[in-house]
Amino acid sequence: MFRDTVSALCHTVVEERCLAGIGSAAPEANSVVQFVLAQHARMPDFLRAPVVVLTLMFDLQCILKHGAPFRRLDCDQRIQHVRDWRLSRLGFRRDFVRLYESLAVLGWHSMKERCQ
Amino acid sequence: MAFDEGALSVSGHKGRHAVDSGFRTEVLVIGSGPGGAITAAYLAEAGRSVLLVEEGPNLALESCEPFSLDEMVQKYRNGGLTPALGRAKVAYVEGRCVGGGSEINSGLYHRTPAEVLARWGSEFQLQAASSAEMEAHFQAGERDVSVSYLPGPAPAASLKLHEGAVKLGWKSMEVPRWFRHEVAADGTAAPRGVRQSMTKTFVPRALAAGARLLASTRVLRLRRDGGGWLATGERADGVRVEIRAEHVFVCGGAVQTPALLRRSGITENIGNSLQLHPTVKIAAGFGEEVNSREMGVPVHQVKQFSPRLSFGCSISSAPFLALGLIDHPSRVEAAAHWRRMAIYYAMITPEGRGTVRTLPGFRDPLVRYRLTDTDLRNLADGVRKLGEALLAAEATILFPAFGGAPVIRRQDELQRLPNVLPAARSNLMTIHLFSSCPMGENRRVCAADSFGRVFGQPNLYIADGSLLCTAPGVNPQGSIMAFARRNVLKFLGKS
Repeated sequence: MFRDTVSALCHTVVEERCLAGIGSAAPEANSVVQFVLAQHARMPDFLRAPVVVLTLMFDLQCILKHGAPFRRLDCDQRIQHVRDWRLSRLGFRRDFVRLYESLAVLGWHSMKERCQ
Repeated sequence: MAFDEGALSVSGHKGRHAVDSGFRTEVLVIGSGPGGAITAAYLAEAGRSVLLVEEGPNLALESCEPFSLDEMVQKYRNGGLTPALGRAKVAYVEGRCVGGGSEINSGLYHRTPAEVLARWGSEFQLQAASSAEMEAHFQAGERDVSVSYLPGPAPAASLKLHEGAVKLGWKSMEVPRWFRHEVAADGTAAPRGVRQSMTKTFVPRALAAGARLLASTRVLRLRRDGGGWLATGERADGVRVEIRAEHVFVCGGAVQTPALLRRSGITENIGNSLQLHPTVKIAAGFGEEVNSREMGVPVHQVKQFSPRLSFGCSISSAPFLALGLIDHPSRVEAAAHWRRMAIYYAMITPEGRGTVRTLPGFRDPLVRYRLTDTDLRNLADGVRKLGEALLAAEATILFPAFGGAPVIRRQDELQRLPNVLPAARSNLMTIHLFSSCPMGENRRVCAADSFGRVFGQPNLYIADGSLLCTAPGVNPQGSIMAFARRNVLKFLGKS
């Protein structure tokens, strides 16, 4: 469930923040997912479990609002959920989105540069 | 000589419980960054038996593109995901490879400012460290790592900041680097060359003089062993390692050194006073091209408000620019114009201090840092003044990098920036960490004496950025190198 949620989140970030105005070949979003999962495995050990728990919270919270977890939502609903957390009054939600957005954006643009 | 990890003789059976206890040395140096590499080289050249242990792998400087994703994965601790936690989080990075931070930093060189040395003398009772007394150590370091200015024009993005500062009548300067230069490819690029990191300078010197290098090996604990020390740790393949040494120099950097000492039960003034240089960034767009794939490292810094504030230009590759725009989600298309954009930073010399603590059951230390209200005001002031300089340099658009930041196009719009950087929405980072085990004779606050010897622990020394008493306000590698040389010469009875 964790990997599926990370995958859905990375695809959403790439869709919303990386593909705008792209005319040339773009890297596979799945490569970004692999990079983000690998980075999760590298992060300080005391942070790994809290990030997993938060990721699952992020996923399951959608059931209340949309009737399905984040990973099963359509693209527009996913983008809205990410925006809700990005603009949340709760700092841990904003930090959570920033972590994944930073990794996905850096990973995608680095891979794009490598493609070129 | 460098050990081939596969060729080590291992006593006991293979696997997790195998133990290699065959290491004995006169001096054990833990960590191969600037402090450790210089210490090892001088000791080996003086004929001492030296074992240099490094947690990270032994990689060539050229093993990956500088400032790339590959470099993060290969050479950064935790893949670069290391936060100092607090009301405002500060992302920091540490090198974790042979050569340590010198393999991944920008190579900008500063001596420790004279007023900083004077403050360390008065507040920390640091002896024999005036500018005059440090002069020979600075000169030696500058010679050994080829500190020099660019032989040709600086990158265009670097010059833009300089131009803006000069228009405002502010002090701006080119900063020299530890670099051997070649000729520039084009006008937007810096002359190419080779950074004189530790794997290019002091590590080979140490090995040539007979030091042994044990890479991919983490020292977990130190314990008194007769008149010397027993270091226990593990190799990357899980084999336990035991090293007996008469003298130990701990050189793991401002986070790992206090973590190792605290794990070993040595805690007096250890890890209580971490400092760093928080930076906040602005992505700036210009009417003409200022960026290229070959841009290299920008070299200008604005020192008009130093030591409180310093400004400079950051690595501005397309991926880092995209990251710099993360707080402006509606402007994602801007990253497509990266050739007309560059990233700039405002750095403060903070009041705040932090701690390094080990957590039972966890491998990585917990780093906490407390920015004061003054620090947050200075960061906000830094954003405003940096914006002023960039607009004076004819930047057409500015994207300050913190949550909720407005986009700025004109000087009068700078008033829309907050007077205090919002801690919870800040986006701070640093590569400069120090002061977690300050040196000096003031036993109330210092962990080691004026030459790095840990109080109350015979034959145990620190030689890295941990020793710097406070934030120097400039890139600390020059200070770390000079104090490492000074302290190891004292150890050898040559000072």
